[in-house]
Amino acid sequence: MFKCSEKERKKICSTVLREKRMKASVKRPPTPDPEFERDREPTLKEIVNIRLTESGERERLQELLRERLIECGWKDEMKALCREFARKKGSNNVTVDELVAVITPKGRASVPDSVKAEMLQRIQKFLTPTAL
Amino acid sequence: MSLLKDDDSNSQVLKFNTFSNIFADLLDTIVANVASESHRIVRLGLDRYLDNEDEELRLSTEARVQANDPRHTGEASGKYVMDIFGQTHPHVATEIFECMNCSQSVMAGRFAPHLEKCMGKGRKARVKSNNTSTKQNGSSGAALI
Repeated sequence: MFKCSEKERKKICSTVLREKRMKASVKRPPTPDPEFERDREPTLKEIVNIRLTESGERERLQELLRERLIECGWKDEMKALCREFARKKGSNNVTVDELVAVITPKGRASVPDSVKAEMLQRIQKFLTPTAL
Repeated sequence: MSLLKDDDSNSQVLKFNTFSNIFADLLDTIVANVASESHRIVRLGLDRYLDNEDEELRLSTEARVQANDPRHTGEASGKYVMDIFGQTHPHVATEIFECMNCSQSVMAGRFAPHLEKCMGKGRKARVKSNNTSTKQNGSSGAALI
């Protein structure tokens, strides 16, 4: 069981307060508590992710996708969207999370079909020989 | 997963969903990168024309006017031509110095025709006798050439 002394408790509280006070331009979900995570079975999704990452294939796929999206002008479109949003909102009020929220729906929709097909094919090719 | 027929299509759908999820994850990472890059540019003010929509238009029309201006066309047109440092040079070189043959003061741009007459080398040359010439014998200079 996790016990903490009075001193440690105060230290943790002050750290938490300090972090809250700091202006956050990036908001992230809190760290999961290790107590609840220990007994779960890894899901299929997690197995696949681990296999992809450990073999280095995820990095390769990432780079390939990045290259294709730059070639077809998708990245420039997204940057233009960000500029527009920042111009309207005023450059000092923009956070990364807002930009992500702006880009994500349009980004997902405007990926060219050929790029998507190529990526799916590569993923399939990598994962299929191993039992799925 | 009980019926054989459904099993096949189910697993196909499952596979497709898995692949699509992986693709969506990759795409999300890239989207986050692009957003972060744009955020940086906006916050650091690296995008000069972010707030002035008109300035870019103004600059481009200004450039167009300058391009059409006869001042800057070509290399040999007009009397005053500007080089890349913005300096203009007169059409004819104007530096004045002394001719080593006849000791006259002569303009650099007119030196060649002067030499033609002076040394007796060119078409309209007259043979001149020089007393003080050190480089060549006065009358025999023309004969040599």
